Amino acid sequence: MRELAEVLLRGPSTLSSAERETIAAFVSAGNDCTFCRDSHRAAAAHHQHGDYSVVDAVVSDYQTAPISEKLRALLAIAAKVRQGGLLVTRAEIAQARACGATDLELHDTVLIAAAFCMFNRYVDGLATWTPTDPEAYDRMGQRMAHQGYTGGSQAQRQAEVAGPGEPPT
Amino acid sequence: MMTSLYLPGVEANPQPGTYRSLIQAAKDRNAEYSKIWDLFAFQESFTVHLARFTHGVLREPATISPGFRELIAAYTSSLNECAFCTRAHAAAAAELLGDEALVSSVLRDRDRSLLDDREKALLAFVEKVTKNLAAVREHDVEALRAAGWDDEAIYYTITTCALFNLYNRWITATGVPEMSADGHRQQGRTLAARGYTRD
Repeated sequence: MRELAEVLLRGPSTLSSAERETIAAFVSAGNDCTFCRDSHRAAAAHHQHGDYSVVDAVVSDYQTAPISEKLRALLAIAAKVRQGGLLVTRAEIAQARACGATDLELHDTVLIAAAFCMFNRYVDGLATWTPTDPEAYDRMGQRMAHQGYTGGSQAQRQAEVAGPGEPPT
Repeated sequence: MMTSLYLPGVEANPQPGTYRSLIQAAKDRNAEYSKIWDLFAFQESFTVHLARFTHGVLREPATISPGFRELIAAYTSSLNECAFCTRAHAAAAAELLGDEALVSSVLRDRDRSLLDDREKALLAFVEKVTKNLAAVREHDVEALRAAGWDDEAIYYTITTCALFNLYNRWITATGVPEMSADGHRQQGRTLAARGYTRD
C-alpha cells in the first residue's frame, strides 16, 4: 500500500506534491479520518516549507481558500468522488476542464480521492491507534514530504509517533 | 462502438505494457473488452502495484475464502452503486463459490439471503465501513469475533471493502461502462481462474 501512496503523491504529475497532499488531507477530513487528515495535512505543509496556512484553509473551506481556480475545481471533483463516484458526470468534468484542468490532472484527482476512500477505511476499519500529539504528525509529515512513503524503517516510524526520548510502545 | 470514458485523454494514451497489448489484441479481433483496461494502461507505474495488491487481498490463502472475498467485493460495489464492479465480482464469486443463487440472493437482499447469520453479520459490518465509517468502533470488531470470525478473516474483510471503495469511485467517476452479460460471465471465469496479476 505504501507504493500506491508513493506513486500517487510523489510520482511524476503536473500537479505538485503539495497540491496532491492537500487533496489527500481534504478527502480524509471529509471522511473524518483523523490519522490520514493530520498526517497528509502535515505532508502538504512540509512541501511548502512547513507552512500550514493553505492546507488548513482548504480543509476548513476550499471555496474561499487562497488557491488557484484549477485546484478549486479539482477539489470540487474530489469532494464528489468522496461522496460517491456516480456524482461525477461529464458536465462536472467539463467544468473543471474550463478552469484549466487537463485529463491527466482530472484522473490524478479522481484516483487520489478514490484511494483515500480506501486508505481511510483501512485505517479506521482496523481501528489503527491514532496519535493525538500534533508534533507526532508534524514529524510524520516531514518524512512523508522529504523522504517519501517507501523509505524509512518501521522503527523510525514508531519513533516519530512516540517522540524523541520515549520508548516506542 | 463501445462507450467512451469521460476522460478521452486517458483513453487515448495507453502506456506500453500488458494492458495496452490486451486492448490492442481485443481491438484486432473486434472483440468486447473490459474498459477498466484503459485505466490500467494509462498509469502502469501505479496500476502494477494496484494489481498485485488486489491479487493479494482477494487471493492470498486466509481463513476467509477467495470466493467469499469476491462476494464482499460485489456487495461493497452494490452499496456504492458501481454496476461494473458489482457484476464483475458477482460473476467471479459465483464461479469460485459454485453458487450463483447465493450470490444473487445477497445482492437482492442481504438480510433475507441464503447466508447464515454469522456471514450476514460480516456483511452488515461491510455496510457500516462503506456507508458510515465515522461510526465504526472497536465494539463492532468485537461483535464479529464473538460471532466466530478470527482476526485474519476480519482483516481481509476490511481490506477488501476498503479496496473496493477505491475501485468503485475510480470506475464510476471516469465512466467505465458495464459489459454485456456474456462479457461479464467470461470475465468472471477469467478472474476465478487466474486472478488479478497479468505478469
